Amino acid sequence: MNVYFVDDDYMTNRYHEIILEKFVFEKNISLTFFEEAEDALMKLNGLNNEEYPDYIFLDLNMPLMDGWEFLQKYYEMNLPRTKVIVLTTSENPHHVTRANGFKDLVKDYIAKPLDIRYFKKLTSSI
Amino acid sequence: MSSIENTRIEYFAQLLMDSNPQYIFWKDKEGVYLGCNQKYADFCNLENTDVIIGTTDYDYMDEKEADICIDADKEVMKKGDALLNFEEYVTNARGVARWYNINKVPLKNDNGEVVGVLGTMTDVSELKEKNSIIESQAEILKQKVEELELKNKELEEFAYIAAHDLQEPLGNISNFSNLLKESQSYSTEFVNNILASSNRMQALLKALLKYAVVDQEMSAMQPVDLNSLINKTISIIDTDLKDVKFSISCDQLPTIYGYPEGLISLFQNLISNAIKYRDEDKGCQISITIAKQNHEELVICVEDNGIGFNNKHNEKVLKMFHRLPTKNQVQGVGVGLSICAKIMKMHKGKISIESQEGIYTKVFLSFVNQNI
Repeated sequence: MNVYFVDDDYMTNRYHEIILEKFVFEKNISLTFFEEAEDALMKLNGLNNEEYPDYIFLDLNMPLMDGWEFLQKYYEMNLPRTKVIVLTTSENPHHVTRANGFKDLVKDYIAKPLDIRYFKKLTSSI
Repeated sequence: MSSIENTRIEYFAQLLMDSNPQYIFWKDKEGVYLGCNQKYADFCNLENTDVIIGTTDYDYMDEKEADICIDADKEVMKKGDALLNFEEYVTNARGVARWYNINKVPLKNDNGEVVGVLGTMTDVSELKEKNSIIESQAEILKQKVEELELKNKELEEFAYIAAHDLQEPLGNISNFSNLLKESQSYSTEFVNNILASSNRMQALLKALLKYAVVDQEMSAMQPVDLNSLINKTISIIDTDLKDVKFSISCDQLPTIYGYPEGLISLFQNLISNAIKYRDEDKGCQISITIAKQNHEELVICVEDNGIGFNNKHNEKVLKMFHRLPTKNQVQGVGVGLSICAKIMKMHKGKISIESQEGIYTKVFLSFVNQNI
């Protein structure tokens, strides 16, 4: 299983890497971290089906390409559908509504920090 | 009806008219006065009400105003309907002009034929004046409400952005503290991350405070010689940037009306940015020029030859806490340009920025031209 994390904050990525380290090793899940959303899109564009991530954890507030732009571009590039989990400090209700608008892409909207129990439940449901 | 009764009724009618605050008159079909009350006699500068009989409006007004009155009379008499509540600015026979609310009613004989016109006028000048004061105050109030609404919206946005960006380092501090509690293996890294996040939090709060108080404790607006202000600014550039070699060229700039402390802080931020985001391979060159000057605006351009940024981000960089990643990790929290924008707003001006990656960054400061 492949899981991507897109977050501009290095420390947040590092934290997620550390808390998930043991679990993903046991379950043979591969994690990939991106500090720039554009890099993630470029990577996705060149993938074949079996390499495609099962989940993408996406931050919204990022300086270059933000989470919204990422979702928009994802549609425009007509990339294969995957499950995006918005993972953000923003609890703005407008953002929740807006994220839900990307309905066949965004599966959930959760607050940071990621709870390992959430991750375990999510990845064992497949 | 006896003639004694008639006389009594006439006397009573005249008394009623004279004690009325309105101006009352009546005319025959040709516009010749048949009578009026004392108030209207005064209006026509006549000693008593009898003198008006046999005269016309041309005896009391200039031709143009008299024509307007006569036309109105004719219209009432032609249609046989009253003309009510129209307002006119009328000059009386003493040369005093005021606003009147005027009613004109057709006078009919026993057969229902129109034989003349009865007019009443009320002086509404004071009322009109009061109304116009109320209206202009309502307009001011409306503007203030709009200003407040805008300010409120800005404040909400500001609080939202601030709260959001302050959460990130705080979140990291608590995340890594929890990890530290549980494990010994990465402890040095965790402590380093906690310290770095605390420092970042401190820097963010410091910058936030700086932004919040930029418009407080400022001296009054005054004429400011921009050239000497910029020279003063250069002498107080941050000490850690002082070791960097940079050169500044500056046009002959005008004196403008402004807040000296604010303008120093404005140029200090812009010059510091130019030095911070310099291209190490090129010498850091800053030029301050007049980009535009006409009777409406004065646009000053602060240009550097630094690393620049992709021009598609030029709206974003003016936003609070917005920083673009750089290769050599320039220190900063992304408040400098927000402070500049706030200072420009205090001067009723605008700030805009454009850049070409690796070539230049230009910041345009647009002031309202004040002709000092």
